[in-house]
Amino acid sequence: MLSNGISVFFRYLNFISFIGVVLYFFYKKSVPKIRQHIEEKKSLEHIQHNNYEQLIQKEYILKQQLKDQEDSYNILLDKVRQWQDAVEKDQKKILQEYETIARANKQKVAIQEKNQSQKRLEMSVIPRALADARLQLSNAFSIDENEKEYVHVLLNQIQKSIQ
Amino acid sequence: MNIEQLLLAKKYAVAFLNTFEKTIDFNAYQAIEKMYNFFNSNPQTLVVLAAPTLELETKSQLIEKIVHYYQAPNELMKLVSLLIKQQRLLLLPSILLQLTRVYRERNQLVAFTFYGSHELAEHETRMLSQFLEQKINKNILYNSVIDKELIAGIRLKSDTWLWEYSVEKQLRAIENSLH
Repeated sequence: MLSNGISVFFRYLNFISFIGVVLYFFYKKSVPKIRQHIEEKKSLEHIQHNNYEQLIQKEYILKQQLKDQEDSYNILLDKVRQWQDAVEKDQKKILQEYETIARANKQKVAIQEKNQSQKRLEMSVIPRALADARLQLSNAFSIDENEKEYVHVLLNQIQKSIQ
Repeated sequence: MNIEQLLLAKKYAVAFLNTFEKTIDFNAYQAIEKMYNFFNSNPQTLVVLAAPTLELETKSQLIEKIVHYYQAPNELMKLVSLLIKQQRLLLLPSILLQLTRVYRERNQLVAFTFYGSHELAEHETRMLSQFLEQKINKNILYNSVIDKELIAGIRLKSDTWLWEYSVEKQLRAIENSLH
């Protein structure tokens, strides 16, 4: 009975010793490694955190730059629009001036053509018409009665005016 | 004739009329006018008068014959003598013209030529004369001429006045309006 109790005791002792040896080796061999690993992880995390911070900073700068560029783009776009408006106005003005000049030229040409045709008329048709009229009237009044009647009517009018 | 000769002729004419105002009547005026017309229509007479080979006495006699022919006043011979003396005989026709003009001015006379497309009767020219007297308020002297170029109508013309009513004038008016 006793021996059985001792045996159990030793058994427990062995077990505890074994556990102690295992724990000892575990403590001696694994813990530093785990600590190193944890520290490495911490260091990595710190680096990553720093990188993250830097990235956030960069992102902020990029966003700011983007905003600046966007502002510049908008200003430039406004200027381009203003310039485009000015150019369109200028073009419109030039077009209007061109149209005015073209209209004036057209009128001038029309007047010149009219004058030329009038001149042609004066040079050819009118003298001929007047010569014909003069000839016909001369023929009509070459009849003595017609001519005398004309003068007689005229003299009667003068006679009335002096009475 | 230049303007200087014209002014000189007018001076002679005015001086002559001032001197012989009483003797220059309407008949004398008409005779002077006829003399002027003679010199004007016979310019060769002036060539004879201008000939230096012709003696002054002969020139004077020639003019005296013309004066007598037209029954012009004898006082004209005094003017001729003066012109011969001053070697200005060639001015005589111009002086005669100026004499008629100055005489007309002084006597409120205006000389008209009546142009008609046919010969105007005496009563017609008289009536035209009355018409002009009313219009310009001066006495009218006139002579009548036929002008076929009028086609039909009358033209009354003096040195400074013109009145016309004729077919030719109407044609001219049409011509002017078309130019």
